[in-house]
Amino acid sequence: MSINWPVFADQLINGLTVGSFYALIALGYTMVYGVLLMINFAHSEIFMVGAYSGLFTMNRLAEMGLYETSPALAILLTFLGGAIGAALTGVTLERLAYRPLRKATRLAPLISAIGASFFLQELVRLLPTIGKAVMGIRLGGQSLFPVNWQQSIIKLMDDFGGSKVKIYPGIMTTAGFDIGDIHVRYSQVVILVSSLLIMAALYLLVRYTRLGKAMRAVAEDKEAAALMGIDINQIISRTFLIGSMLAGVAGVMMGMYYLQIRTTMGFVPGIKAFTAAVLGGIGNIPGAMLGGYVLGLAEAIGLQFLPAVYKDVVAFGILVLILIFKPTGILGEVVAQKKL
Amino acid sequence: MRSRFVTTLFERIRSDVPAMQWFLRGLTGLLIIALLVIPLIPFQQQALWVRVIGYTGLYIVLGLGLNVILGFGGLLHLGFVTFYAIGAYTYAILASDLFGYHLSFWVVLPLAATLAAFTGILLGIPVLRTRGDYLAIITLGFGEITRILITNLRSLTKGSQGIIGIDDPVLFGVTFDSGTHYYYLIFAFAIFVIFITTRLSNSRVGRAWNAMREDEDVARMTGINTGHYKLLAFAVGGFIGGLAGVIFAAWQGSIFPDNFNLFVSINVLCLIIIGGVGSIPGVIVGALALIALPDILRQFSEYRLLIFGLLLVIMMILRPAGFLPSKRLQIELGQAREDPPPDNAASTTGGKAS
Amino acid sequence: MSIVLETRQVTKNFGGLMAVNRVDLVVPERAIASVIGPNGAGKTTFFNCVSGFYTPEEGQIEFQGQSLVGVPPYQIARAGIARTYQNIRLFPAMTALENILVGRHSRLKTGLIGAIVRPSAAVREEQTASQYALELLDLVGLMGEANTLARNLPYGDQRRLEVARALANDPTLLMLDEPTAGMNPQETRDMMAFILRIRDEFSLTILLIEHDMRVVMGVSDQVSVLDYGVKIAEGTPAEVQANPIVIEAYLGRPTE
Repeated sequence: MSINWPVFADQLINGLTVGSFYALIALGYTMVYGVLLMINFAHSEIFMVGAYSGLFTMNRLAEMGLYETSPALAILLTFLGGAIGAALTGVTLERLAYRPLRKATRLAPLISAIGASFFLQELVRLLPTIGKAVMGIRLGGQSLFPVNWQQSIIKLMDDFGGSKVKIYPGIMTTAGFDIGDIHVRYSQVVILVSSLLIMAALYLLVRYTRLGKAMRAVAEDKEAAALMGIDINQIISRTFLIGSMLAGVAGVMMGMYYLQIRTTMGFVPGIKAFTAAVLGGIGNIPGAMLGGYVLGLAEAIGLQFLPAVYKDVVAFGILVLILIFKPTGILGEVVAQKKL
Repeated sequence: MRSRFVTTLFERIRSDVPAMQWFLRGLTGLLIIALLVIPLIPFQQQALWVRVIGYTGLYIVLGLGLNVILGFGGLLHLGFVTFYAIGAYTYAILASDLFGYHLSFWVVLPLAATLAAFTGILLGIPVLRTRGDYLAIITLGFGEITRILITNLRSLTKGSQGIIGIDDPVLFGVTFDSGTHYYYLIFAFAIFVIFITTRLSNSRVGRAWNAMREDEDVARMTGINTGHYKLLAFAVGGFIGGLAGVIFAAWQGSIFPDNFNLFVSINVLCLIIIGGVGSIPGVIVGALALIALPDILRQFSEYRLLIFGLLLVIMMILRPAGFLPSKRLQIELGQAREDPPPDNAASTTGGKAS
Repeated sequence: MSIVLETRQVTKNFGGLMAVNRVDLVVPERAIASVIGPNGAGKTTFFNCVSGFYTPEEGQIEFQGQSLVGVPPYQIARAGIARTYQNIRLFPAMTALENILVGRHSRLKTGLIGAIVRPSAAVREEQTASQYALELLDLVGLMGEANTLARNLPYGDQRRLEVARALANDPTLLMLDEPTAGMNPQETRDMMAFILRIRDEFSLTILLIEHDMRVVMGVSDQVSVLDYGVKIAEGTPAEVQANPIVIEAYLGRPTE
C-alpha cells in the first residue's frame, strides 16, 4: 500500500488535535473511576453541556461586543462559560444521582448514570419547548413571570438548547502555516498547546496540592482516607468539579474546531475517551492523557487502512485488544484493589 | 382421605405465600386464555391491539434474553441489539429475494440464533479477565459497531435501503401472512422462552449464576468456573435475542439499519429494570409497562425520553429492584452491601496516582 | 501416612510488603494442622495462596502430589480443597439449602441442556443432591432453616452453614479460617468438638487458622506459627507453647 505522505501527515496532526479532546474528556472518566470505582456514564453529556454553555456564553459576549473590543478575553470567558456549565452539571449530577447510591451495588449507579445521560440530552434538546410550556402556565389567571420577562426567557432558552444543530461562529479558521507539503492550522496548534498546559496544571494540582493528595488518598483507600480526617464527600464532589470542567473545555474546543454541535454529540467522543482512559490505565491521570493521544494517533493511522466510515470501529477494536492483552492499560491502573 | 386433603389445603391457605401463589396462578391462567382469544373475537381496533400485543410479546422475548445476561449472570450488557440484528439480518439474507435464497424459517431460526449465541461468546471473551463494568462500555461499542456494519456492508445488507420482501414462515402448509398468525407465533415463542429461562433459573446452572452474581470470588473458590458461566449467560441471552430478531424480520417483511439502533438496547434494558432485574414475571410486567407507558404519556410524548431518564434515576434511588422484583435482587440491589474489611493489612494495594 | 498438602518457600508480597515469606508447611493425611499467629501475620494470605485466589510469586504448593500454583480456584476446589472465610462469605440472598447446593456444584453434572430438558438423570441428580444437602444441614444443626436466606441466619448459624457448604464439596482438605471468631468460650468449645467430629466422619484433613493460640491447642496435631509472614516455629502444641520465640511474638506486643 502506498502512503500519501502529505495526507497522512495531515491526518496525524488531526489525530493529535482529536487526541487532545479525548485526553481532556478521559481525565474526567479516570478521576471519577479512581475515587468512586464507577463509570460516570453521563460524562459524555457533561461534555455536551459544556459545548452548549460555551456557545451560549459566546453569543452573550458577542451581544455585548466583547469579541470586537477584546477578543482574547472574550475567548477566555467563553471557555470559562463552558467549564462552569459543565461543572454545575457534573456536581449536581453527583449530588443527586450518584451520592444516594454510594453504598448500592455497582449496577445501580451505572443505571442511574444512563438515566441521567438521557435526561441531560433531552433537557438540552427540549429546553425551548420546556421554556414555552412553563411560560404558558397560568396560575389563577396569572402567569408565573412578568410578560416582559417571558419573551427574553424563551429567547435565552431557545438560544441555549433545541433540537436543531447549533453552529459555533468560525473563530478557528483554516489559516495556518506550511511545513513542506503539510499544512498546520493555527487552531490545531492552539488546541494542542492549551490542552497540554491544562493537563500539566492538573498534574501539578494532583501531585502537589492538598486537594490532589486527598484525591489520591481517596482513590487508594476510602476507609483509610476517612480515618485520616479527609472529607470523602467533599473530595468526590471536587473530583467531579475538576473532571467536568475539563470536559467542558473540551466541549468548547470541539465546538470551535468542528463548528457544529448537537445534543447527541457526546456519545462517540465519550466512548472513545473512556477507551483512552482504559488504554492508559483507569484511575491513572497521566495514563488518561497518554491514552487520549495514543488513541487519536491510532485512529489517524487506521484511516490509512480502512474506509473513513470505519473510523469508530478502530477505537473499539483497540479497546477490545487492550482488555484482552493488557487490561491494566499502558501505565497501569490506580484503583483500590479487591479485598478478600 | 378427604379430610387430609382439606387440611393440606387449609395449611396452604393459612400461610399466605402459597395462597398468593394460587391466586397468581389463577390470574396467569385467565390472562393466557384472554390473550389466546383476543384475535378470535372481533372488537373495535382489534388489528391494532393484535399488533401492539404482538410487539409486547416480542419485547418480552428480548427482555427474557437480556434477563439471562443481566439478571441471572449479573453482566450489564448495553448492546443487546447486536443479537437482535444478527437474527434479523441472517433471516433476511437467507430468506428473501436479495440473493434468491429462500431457506425455510424453521431452518434459519436455529441457525441464526446459534450465530447470535456465538457472537455473544466472542463478545464475552475479552471482558472475562476484566472488571465487570467495562462490559457496559464495550457492549455499547459493539452495538454501535453493529449499526455501522449493517449500514456500510452494502453488498450484504443493502445498507440504508434495507432488505425487503422477506419470506413468511410456513408451517403445515399454512403461510404466516396475517397479523393474527404472527400474534400466535410470538405467543408460542414467548411461552417457550419463559419455559426455558424458568427451568434454567431453577437448576444447577441457575444456582451457579446466582452464586457468581452474589460473590464472584467465593463462587470461584467454591468450584464454579465463573468464566464458563459468564460465557454461557452471553450465549443463552444471545440465542434468545437472535430468535427475536428472526421473528421480527419475518413479521415486518422488511428491515432497515434504523430498526437496530441504540434505543432497542436501552428499551430492553429499561423494561427489565422497571419490572425487576432477574425476575421473569418482572420482565413481562416491564414489557407491558413500556408499551403502555407511551400511551399513558401520550400528551407528554415529546418529553417521553426526558421523563424516562428521570424515572431511571429516581427508580435506582427509591426502588432499585423494580416493581416485581426477584426475591434475590431485591436484597442485592435494595440494600447496602458493605465491603468486607480487609482480612489482613497486606491486602491493600501499592501504586500511586502519579 | 501420606502427605495431603505440602508448601515449599511460598512467598506473596503486596507492593514490597512481604505478607507471606518463604513458608514451608507439610500437612499429613487426616491431621488437624493449625496455623496461628497474631493478626496481620499473613495467615489468610497464605490460605488465599492455597485456594488459588492469589498466585504466590515464589514457591511450590502441592496437593496430593499435584502442583496448585497457577491453577484456577475452581479447579482447586474441584480437586478436593474446600474452605471457609474469616469474614463469613455466604451467598447472602440464597437460602441455606441453596448455599450448600452451590457448595456441591463441582460434584454435580447437569449442564445447560440437562437443566432445560430435565432428563430423568438430571432430576435424580437434583433430588439426591438436595437430600444430601438436607443431611448436611441436619449435621450442622440447621435442619429447620433450609429455606431461610443466609443473610437472615444468626451469626453462629452462618458460621456453621459455611462449614456445611464446604463439606458439600466432598473435600479431602478442609481449610477453616478462624472458625471460632466472635464466639464465646462455650461456642468455641462446641465448634472445636464439631471439627474433631467431622474430621472423623468425613475422613478429612483439616488446616485451621487461629489467632488465639489457646483455641487450637486441644485439637491440633501440629501447630505452625506465623509472624510477619515468616514461619517462626512449628511442632506439637506443647512444643510450640513452650517455645520462647512464640511467647515473645505473642507477648512482645498486644494480641489486638
